[in-house]
Amino acid sequence: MEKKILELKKITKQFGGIKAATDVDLVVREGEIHGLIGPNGAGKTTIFKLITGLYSPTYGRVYLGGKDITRLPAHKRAQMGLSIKMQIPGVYEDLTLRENIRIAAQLYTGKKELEAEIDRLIKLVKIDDLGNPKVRNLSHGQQQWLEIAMSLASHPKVLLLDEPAAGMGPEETTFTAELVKDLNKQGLTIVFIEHDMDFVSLLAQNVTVLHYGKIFAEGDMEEIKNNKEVQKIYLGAV
Amino acid sequence: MKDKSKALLTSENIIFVVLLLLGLVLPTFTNAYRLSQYSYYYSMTILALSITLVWGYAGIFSFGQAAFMGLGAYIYGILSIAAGRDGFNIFALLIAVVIMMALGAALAYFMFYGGVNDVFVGLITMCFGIALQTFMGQTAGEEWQVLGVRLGGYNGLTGIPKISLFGFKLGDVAFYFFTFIILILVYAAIRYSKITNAGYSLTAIRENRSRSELFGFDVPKIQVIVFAISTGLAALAGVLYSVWGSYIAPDNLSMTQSTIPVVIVASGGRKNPTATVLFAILYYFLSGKLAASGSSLNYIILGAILIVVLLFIPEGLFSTLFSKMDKYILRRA
Amino acid sequence: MILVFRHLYLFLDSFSFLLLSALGLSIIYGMMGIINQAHGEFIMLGAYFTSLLSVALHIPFIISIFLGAILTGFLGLLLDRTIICRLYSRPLDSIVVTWGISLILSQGIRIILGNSVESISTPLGSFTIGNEKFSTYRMVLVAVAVITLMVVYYIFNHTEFGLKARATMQRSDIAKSLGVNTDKMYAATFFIGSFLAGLTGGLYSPTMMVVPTMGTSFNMQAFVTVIVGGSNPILGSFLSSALLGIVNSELSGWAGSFAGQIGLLIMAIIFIRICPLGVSGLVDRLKAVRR
Repeated sequence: MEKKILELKKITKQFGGIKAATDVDLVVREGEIHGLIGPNGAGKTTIFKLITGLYSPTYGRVYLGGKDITRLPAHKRAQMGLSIKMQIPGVYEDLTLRENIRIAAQLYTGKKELEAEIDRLIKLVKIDDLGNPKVRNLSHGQQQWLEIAMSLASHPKVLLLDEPAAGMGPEETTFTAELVKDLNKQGLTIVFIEHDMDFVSLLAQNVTVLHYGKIFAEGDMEEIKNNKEVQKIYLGAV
Repeated sequence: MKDKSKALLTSENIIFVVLLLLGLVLPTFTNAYRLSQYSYYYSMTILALSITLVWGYAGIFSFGQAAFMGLGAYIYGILSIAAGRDGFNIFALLIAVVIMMALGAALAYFMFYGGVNDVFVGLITMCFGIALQTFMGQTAGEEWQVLGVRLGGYNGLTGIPKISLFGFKLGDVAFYFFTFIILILVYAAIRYSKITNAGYSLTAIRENRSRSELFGFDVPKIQVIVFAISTGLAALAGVLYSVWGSYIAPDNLSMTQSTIPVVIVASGGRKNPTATVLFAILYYFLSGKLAASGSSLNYIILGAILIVVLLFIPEGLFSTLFSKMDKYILRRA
Repeated sequence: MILVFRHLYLFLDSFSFLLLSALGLSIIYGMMGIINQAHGEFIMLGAYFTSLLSVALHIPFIISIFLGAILTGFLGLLLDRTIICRLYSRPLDSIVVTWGISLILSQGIRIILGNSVESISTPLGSFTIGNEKFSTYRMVLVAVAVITLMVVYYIFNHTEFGLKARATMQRSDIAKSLGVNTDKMYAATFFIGSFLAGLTGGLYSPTMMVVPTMGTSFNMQAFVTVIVGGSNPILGSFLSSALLGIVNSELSGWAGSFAGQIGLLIMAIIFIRICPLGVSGLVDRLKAVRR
């Protein structure tokens, strides 16, 4: 069995009287593509925020590569190799495409190699045909690919993708799925949140289902696909 | 090589070079008194640039710059009067700037490592500035002295001595060049930083603070550093101002004095140091003319310009002018 | 005994000054998140209007105060509808713009009306306890402050307008979808906030020099009170004025008015750092824990 690259133990997050996450245990192994699914409001993005450090857990621990990062500030986690593509595009809209990647890469690449590194990342995500416009002029899908390029600049071990296929048409979705598969083949562990079930079944090897902030089900793709209870919560029966 | 020189030929750069040349030849066609007025304008421009750096570049809303400026001046005044030797004063300047940077760093540490941001930074710096002004205002009694120099309450410190370099006391013309060169250096440093890693990290945290953290930027640390530098620049401006007028008083630390440079930076173009320099010098120059003719309309005009800019020309008057000129006159995108 | 009364007097005096200065600002902040930097200048305008109406036009003092407040309210409404409403979504820019407005107002008044204006002298004389004199008028102002707070409380908690206002303050999007005209709500709020500022200026005009820059001293005290109070205009302002009133009056009594002011500012700085949502935030947290 591959070693654990990301682990959550009994993660609980409370806002005033509301529990956004309760006793969440999650294990992601090195080299996996792990899907995190569940109905709207189940707490998936909250879990991502707890992993990246934007939120501090009310209770519980977070481990990256075996190290306890629960008390570590967000920027240190990023430097340790944890990257994220956010649900709402986390790009710098008023800057150009290259400036965006430069900002993401400058902490990890020397001055002399910076331009070449920007070129490499653009090629990696196959957005070299976009030129160098102001990012607010890119389409939603293009901004997401740009953000993935930016998230790769830190040579991450784990990449979190929050709804990578959101707002994309079928061609773009296929492109994104291929991109994710390629990156995973090169050794990157990927955890993603998605609502598009086709996308999930294309890519996910293991799946965790969240419901009302709690783990509802987990297993490999086949098990979850055939899980009648999971289908029910999506249709609102539970 | 040709591409690079073409890229440098923007209206902004052309205008700056014109200003630079005007500044160099100014002493040949003004008298010494008028020239010393420009030293005052340049000092206040440096204060404005401190705000361009901390607000325009880093997105930190510091509302008490005049207080840092004034305190820096007080420190210089105390040190230079206490030392009583002209040759020491240049060191007094450096010491004042360093002390103020440390103070700025301490305040910034208190704020940014405590998670205070945005509006609340403005409120804390505002309160800090008012507290400082209030404190200096009540130092009238004899017991209020530092290094034997009486703080003087509302009357402040008078008789602040001139700076000497290499044994020569800087008179009006020499001091003019002194402030001019410092202004150019500060401007150049701020402008150049924009294309460095440091400059881009400021841009990143200005545009999206939390996202930048997720890219690995130690945001609070960067904020403390830039705040400290900005405080140092304000102190530098304060020292130059107090040498020019040979005096500093609590009135110079007031909220109104803090408002003016913020309004100037906002109106000219907060992210653009050239716009700040242009608008600041223009404003102080025209204010001087207005004041000479007995009017205090300058504040009203400034307030009106600010409102118009914030509502209709949010990039700033001169920033927008530069880009329009680039588009239509120089025919660049 | 006299000592106790003196401390009580100073506390109540400070409390009412802070409460009246801050109420209008707090309502605007609680409703729209706008920190009106021109609030002090609105107070100044109220003082000016009241002085001109009562001294120059010989209108009875109490009526002058109300007229002055109404005029200030309308001026505030005008500024809101023309300038400030365009910046609701840009809170930092709204601070800068209201700064510009305050510059124009204070310098404009100076140009039009000169450096000071005669105000009516403090009415009602003084009363003596032991061998110390206390101003009757300023004690009356304590009552006025409390009554004003009660009126505002009544409006916000027992009228339909108040219900809509509180709904808009909590969730303006939901209020809108329920049919509340949020634009009108903001305009009305700005009117009320400016009215209260003008009222404060009028009420205090006999006790101080009516000069164009008088707004700055009110501004600072109002700000600190709102910062410490938080976004609940009634409970927040009340508790904050009480707390800061104690700090201010005790420090001033011990080491002079400067010490009192510096004490207020330090309180504000500490509050922002430790509980940025103010006393209102603390109260909310306590309520949530009790549930």
